[in-house]
Amino acid sequence: MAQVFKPSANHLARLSLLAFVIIPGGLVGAGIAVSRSPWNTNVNVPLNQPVPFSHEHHVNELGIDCRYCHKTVENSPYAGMPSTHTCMSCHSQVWTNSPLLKPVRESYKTGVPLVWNRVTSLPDFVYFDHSIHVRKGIGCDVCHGQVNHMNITFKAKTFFMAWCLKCHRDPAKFIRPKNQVFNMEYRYPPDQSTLGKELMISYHVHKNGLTDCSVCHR
Amino acid sequence: MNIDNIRITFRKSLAGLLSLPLLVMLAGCHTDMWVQKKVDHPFARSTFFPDQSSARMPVSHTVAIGQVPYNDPYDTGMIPNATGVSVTETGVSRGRFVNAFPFKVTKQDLLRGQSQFNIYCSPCHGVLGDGNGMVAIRGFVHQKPANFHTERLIKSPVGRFFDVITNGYGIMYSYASSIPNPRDRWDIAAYIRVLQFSQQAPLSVVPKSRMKELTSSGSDASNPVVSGEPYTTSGGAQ
Ligand code: HEC
Ligand code: HEC
Ligand code: HEC
Ligand code: HEC
Ligand code: HEC
Ligand code: HEC
Repeated sequence: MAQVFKPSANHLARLSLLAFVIIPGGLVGAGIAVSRSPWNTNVNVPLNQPVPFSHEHHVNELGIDCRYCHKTVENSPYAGMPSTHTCMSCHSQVWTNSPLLKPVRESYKTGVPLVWNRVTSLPDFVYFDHSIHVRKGIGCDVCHGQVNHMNITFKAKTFFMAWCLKCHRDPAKFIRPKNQVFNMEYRYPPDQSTLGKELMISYHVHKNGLTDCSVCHR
Repeated sequence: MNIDNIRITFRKSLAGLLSLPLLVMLAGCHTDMWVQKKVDHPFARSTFFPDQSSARMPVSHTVAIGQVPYNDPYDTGMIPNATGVSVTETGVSRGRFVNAFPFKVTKQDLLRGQSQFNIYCSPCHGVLGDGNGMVAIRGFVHQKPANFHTERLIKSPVGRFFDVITNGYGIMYSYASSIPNPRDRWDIAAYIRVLQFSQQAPLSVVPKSRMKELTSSGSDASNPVVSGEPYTTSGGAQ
């Protein structure tokens, strides 16, 4: 029987050992890259909506407060979505013939709410509450990005668990005065590290236990 | 060792290797607790109800436990008619507007009223209450939002403001669902009174320490002049 392996096969064997490390490593790397890519997380991907609603237009140009539409954000776990009634409080007078607003008028007539595609959505096993974040001085833009400049709304952050935890481990970096929560252009001052610590005390934020699993998985 | 055997082993391990990405992809599928059989948001879409809304309206002709009777002036801004509803030449009337706040108005109330007014009313009525809000300028061509500094509205009983917020007025929609708490509606009414006062106030009530801001030319943008009132900084002595 002829020799199957030539001496050079030794190199191949060694190289293939290397391949056993590189290929799975690469695959895992690729898996992570895919799971973190916009393809999976939808970060920075504008979604199709029944009406091309623009925050840039309504918030930045017209100066409408978030709470005109997201009414319950201060008092409830849910920020809430505007009812058709809310759109119509203006659009019964403004752009009454716009074809873009036809679904809004239909919805008002039939009483069937508009179906918006969710931009931010946590898995059902995660508990989240807007009111506590708003009341403890966490601005909307920390989590949602500069919504006031979005023509079509997109997700600005991954909303991975690690992302939540980054703040829950040390909220002092992100806390701002409560009256600045709705200020989408807020810039943190250079002395944020001392200001943050002071605000933590005056708002009674206790970071001990804020990373316990039961805070978010209950 | 047979070369064919080696080939087969090689093919097998290659198949194994190639299926690894499949495993990685499988890890991305969530058939577990990510989507649970529950209404996860009060405004989630429902396939059960014909209007596709999972939040339900209260059943008509029912009163929730703890819901106060609807004819308390605190909840309506009105002293009810003896007969309940009466029809006058100006329209349907449910009573007389109350002309006093049903509680003692504190600074806290005014600040709350200011923030609520700026959220829900200023887009149309403007931050000064003169009817020149941003949205009013861009739209509302047929009927402008009201200017609160007209004689009629200055003399109006406070109950009217409460009632307009609750039930709307003319082409203005009701803000009852946006401002569910009657206290907030009263606070807004109180703040409208502040705005009305501020636009009519004589210079003598301005505190000495703030006088400079009014008389220096730099503050013109935030000046009452904008609202078209007869008071100007130079003629403010009247
Ligand atoms: C005039 C009404 C209006 C105002 C004012 C408004 N929004 Fe919205 N918002 C909407 C509508 C309608 C949607 C759903 C359509 C979409 O996603 O663009 C939405 C969607 C969102 C979403 C995505 C929700 C999701 O998960 O699908 C976020 C986040 C958001 N708004 C934040 C804000 C913030 C922050 C502000 C204030 C700076 C604000 N909005 C002001 C009407 C409004
Ligand atoms: C406070 C008043 C206000 C509310 C509430 C409001 N809008 Fe608007 N919207 C406007 C104004 C004013 C314009 C036009 C601005 C301009 O002329 O540049 C506009 C423009 C639009 C346009 C562009 C129309 C076109 O043909 O170009 C769309 C779409 C729209 N709004 C959707 C909505 C939806 C959906 C809602 C409800 C979630 C809503 N708006 C709530 C005031 C409002
Ligand atoms: C700590 C991060 C955080 C902050 C701060 C925050 N949000 Fe959110 N927001 C979220 C998350 C997470 C969701 C998705 C919730 C879910 O899927 O259950 C969300 C969802 C929303 C939605 C969709 C409707 C809903 O209630 O789920 C709107 C609208 C919204 N946020 C508006 C706002 C506004 C306005 C502010 C500022 C007052 C704000 N958010 C501040 C994290 C945040
Ligand atoms: C930028 C900072 C920040 C981010 C990001 C953030 N949080 Fe928080 N979170 C806070 C602060 C501050 C508190 C208030 C802690 C306190 O009151 O002691 C809080 C409180 C909470 C609470 C209430 C805890 C309780 O005891 O009731 C929950 C639940 C929560 N966060 C969930 C989340 C989830 C889920 C995410 C990610 C989607 C998230 N948070 C992202 C800052 C943040
Ligand atoms: C600050 C809020 C928060 C805390 C605290 C927290 N989690 Fe999470 N967790 C999340 C969020 C948000 C997700 C969803 C992440 C995503 O969408 O990929 C999640 C997802 C998970 C998942 C599912 C991962 C998957 O891909 O299926 C597990 C398991 C988990 N968490 C375990 C834990 C454990 C164990 C702890 C305590 C050590 C913990 N979590 C603490 C917010 C939190
Ligand atoms: C979307 C625009 C808009 C918003 C927001 C709005 N209004 Fe109006 N308002 C109007 C218009 C338009 C009129 C004139 C209606 C008419 O004459 O048909 C009006 C009229 C009024 C009047 C005059 C009633 C009378 O007897 O003459 C009062 C008082 C009033 N609004 C109070 C408020 C208060 C308080 C808020 C905030 C909670 C508010 N409005 C928010 C558009 C608006």
